[in-house]
Amino acid sequence: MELTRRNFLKYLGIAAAAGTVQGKIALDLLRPVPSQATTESNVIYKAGVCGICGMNCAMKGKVVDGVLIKLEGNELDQQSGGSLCAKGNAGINILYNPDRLKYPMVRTNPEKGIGVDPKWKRISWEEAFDLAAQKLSEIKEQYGGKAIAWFGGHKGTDFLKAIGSPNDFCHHSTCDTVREVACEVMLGTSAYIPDFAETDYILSFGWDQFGKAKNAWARLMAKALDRGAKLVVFDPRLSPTASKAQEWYPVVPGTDHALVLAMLNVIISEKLYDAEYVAKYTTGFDKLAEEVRKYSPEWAAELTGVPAADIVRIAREFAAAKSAVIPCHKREAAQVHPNGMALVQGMIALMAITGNFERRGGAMFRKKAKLNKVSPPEEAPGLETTIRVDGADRLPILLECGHAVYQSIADAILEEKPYPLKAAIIYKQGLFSMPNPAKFVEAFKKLFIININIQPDEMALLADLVLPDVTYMESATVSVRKYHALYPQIAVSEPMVKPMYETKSRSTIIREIAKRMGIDQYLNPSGSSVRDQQLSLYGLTQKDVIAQGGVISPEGTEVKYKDLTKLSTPSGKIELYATRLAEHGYNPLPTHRDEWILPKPKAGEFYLVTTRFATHRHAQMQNYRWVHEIYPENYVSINKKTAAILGIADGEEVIVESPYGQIKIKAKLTEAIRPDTVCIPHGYGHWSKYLSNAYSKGANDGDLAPARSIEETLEMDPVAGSNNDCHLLVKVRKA
Amino acid sequence: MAAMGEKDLASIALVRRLYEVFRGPDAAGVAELCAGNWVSDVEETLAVLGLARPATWHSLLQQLGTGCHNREQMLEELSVEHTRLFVNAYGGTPAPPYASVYLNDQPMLGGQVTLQVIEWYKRAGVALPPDYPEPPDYLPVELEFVIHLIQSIPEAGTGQAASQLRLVQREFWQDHFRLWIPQFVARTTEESQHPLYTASAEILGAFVQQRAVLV
Ligand code: SF4
Repeated sequence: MELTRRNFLKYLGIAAAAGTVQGKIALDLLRPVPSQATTESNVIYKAGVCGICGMNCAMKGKVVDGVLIKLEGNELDQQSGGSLCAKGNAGINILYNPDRLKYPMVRTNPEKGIGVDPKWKRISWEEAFDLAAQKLSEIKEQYGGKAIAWFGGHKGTDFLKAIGSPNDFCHHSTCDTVREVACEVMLGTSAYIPDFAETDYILSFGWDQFGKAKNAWARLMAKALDRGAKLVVFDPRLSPTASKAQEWYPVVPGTDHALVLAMLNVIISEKLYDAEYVAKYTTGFDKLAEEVRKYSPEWAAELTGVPAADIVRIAREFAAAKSAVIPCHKREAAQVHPNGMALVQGMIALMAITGNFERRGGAMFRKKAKLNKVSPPEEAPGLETTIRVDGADRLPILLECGHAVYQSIADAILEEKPYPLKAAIIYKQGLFSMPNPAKFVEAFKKLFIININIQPDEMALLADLVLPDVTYMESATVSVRKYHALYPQIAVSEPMVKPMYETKSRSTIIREIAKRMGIDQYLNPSGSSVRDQQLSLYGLTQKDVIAQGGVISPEGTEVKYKDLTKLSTPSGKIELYATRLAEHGYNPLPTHRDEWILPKPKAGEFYLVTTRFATHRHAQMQNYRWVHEIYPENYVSINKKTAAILGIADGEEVIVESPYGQIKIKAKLTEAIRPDTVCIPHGYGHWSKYLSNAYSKGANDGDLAPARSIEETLEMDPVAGSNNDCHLLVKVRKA
Repeated sequence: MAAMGEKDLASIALVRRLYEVFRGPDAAGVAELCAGNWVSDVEETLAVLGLARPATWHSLLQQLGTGCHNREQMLEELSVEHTRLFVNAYGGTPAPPYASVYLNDQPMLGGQVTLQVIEWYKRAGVALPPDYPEPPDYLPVELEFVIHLIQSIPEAGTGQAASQLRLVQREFWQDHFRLWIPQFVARTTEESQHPLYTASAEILGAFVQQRAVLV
């Protein structure tokens, strides 16, 4: 056939003459540029901030021709100190994981549940924004704004205020509220920093920094041990930290508080405390002394299994050390057992009476840098009600600290008490951050869920609308050093690569939805000009900070001490007797509550402790290739001798059963754990089939945890509202 | 200046038609399918290139025959299947349309494979617009690059520029395109539940096999 008569030429829009064609068809995507004979690459370094964990280490990204090749620590940052942890290094996997969520998607399968395929369909952003706004507006109209919740820290507080809802949820009551609340009421701040660089003595109550490997702390603690600092660890298992300690005591789980009380008793009765410091910087010492008189080392030895002589010796050593610190972070001995709040109160008291706050090598207050405040262009009309679905309005100090009662939400949704919840926007909260996720799945079936997410995890599978989020490598931030701020620092990050696919930032997504609901005037402004405005306090812009290496120390790098008579507590001092607790009718002292000690396990029963691998952050990293290869699945650690009695072999599958659920998991036999205790690393058992590496590997310890109702929570921990995940015994049997 | 011959033009038209399929469905694309334009162009170009119609061709025609009565539903079905095959799927995305996933040491985007693709684009005098959201090794982009090479080589004539382009074409095809496309095609044909994607993948596989020995 003559070429000119070919139909496809019409399609190409080309006219042919004399059997050939000249000219070109236009391309949609590729554009002509001057061709380059050389293959020289365009290498640049971009300033970044690691977004995997809250430490937010400052870093640099090596970018070649727009492709991120490597992440490195920024040596100007006191937190990263020029290095990144394994998780931080694996950040590139998050960016380039093929499983990543790429476009807005809507489920086409109305059925929801564990193992149910949502049958996603890609839609445009316009469609997604319209659908979200329409649904939320309908719900607001019919049930009020309070029927809409936000899960995911305080990143949606302004949006909630704009719709009048008090239901601002974060996960901390399953994590670290006891530490935060105890610090707030006694120190007037939410946390303290262990100054490992200079310390002589470290006491750990289940605190396993080498296990979780937070960059600054793991690095600095290793240096402290190199220098010869003493490390004493109380932990039911030989954790990575315990394995580096001079002394390890496999304490009975949930009894650490008794050790602290007995040490206070020894130090006070033997007058080993720093009397001058106590008089100058603390209040309530006499009341504390009176309280701890009844807690003898022998009493503690009986409960904890740690010999009384060792308790006495360690207390004396601690008091005599030039500097000493008891680090406290998240989900250690505290938080997971009902005496946890009092345990942290006791730890603070121990460091305070030995004069270790604001002393080099002791516990330092965080010197957080300030930024200019930004506020919405218009004040939001106000909340419809202060009554919250999770019941946190009944825990006033917890609420003042800005936290929710996470575990009670499932029951509240299911029972529609105190009122029905109809929709949720869920941002950066995995289903595995929720205790007893099966109960949460049932609850979530009742809601219209918008999930802003990076990977197709279980939460995405339960969502009605999935909106793909950018990673921290594709976005900009201004970050004040929070975790390890011995002096104020600010780190600035710029997008290392442009957002891939059709991903968008949370703030853009929320603004677009709010615009369509007519409430965007109540949102906090965001974007580059706002970040510059924040920095203008120092007469700087983001560009300036990046030009200075990405990190600035606006007050220099010298460690300045805080005046311990000018704290944000009612008295201005460290309150050994916490008046804020007393005002609210709570016990202001670290009294031991015997009724909350678990009964001794019978044959076949065990205490449960949980941990996580240093390469994984909670349940978020299991699907990322580099770290997946290191720890592809979890297991339950069982003492060899106990396993022999139960006839369980190494690597064999067992059933672990709690009063709340059961899991099937491989057994790992070890001598490095108490014979009456089992330990499970957290973050596994993913059932999202969209996660190609993590799917079906291991089991979720969270399935064994209770999701306590608000009533149960109030009974157990009326102050910090913690879920006390490990306040239970489990049974183990061959599968 | 040399001009393109019939086979070059047929190749371009065929690749363009495949590009439309892998880029993802929209209302205009469904209209083209239902008007029969897509089918007739593909049939004609296959004939010019001497390639057989794929095994699934008949079932595709049948599907279009019935499906085109309800175009909205057809778009919905194509969208769900496109998302499942190429975007995010229960059980793992069967055929991610990114070369790096197949050719990097580990199935990840970015890395050396992406850098290599960028380099070929640079040497061939093309680039993606800065705001284009997909990575450079995204299948539709690489299909456009195939078109670009086919039409710019004859245009470049016989000089150094032309031999540079021919070298790029050889490298791109031999070290890259012919290596990953068969894997992508195999995964797509195995998993696809819609004859449009099965047939398109089969055609892509046959086209690449034929052309790989010519460049
Ligand atoms: S400690 Fe590790 S994961 Fe956390 S911010 Fe630093 S590098 Fe990232």
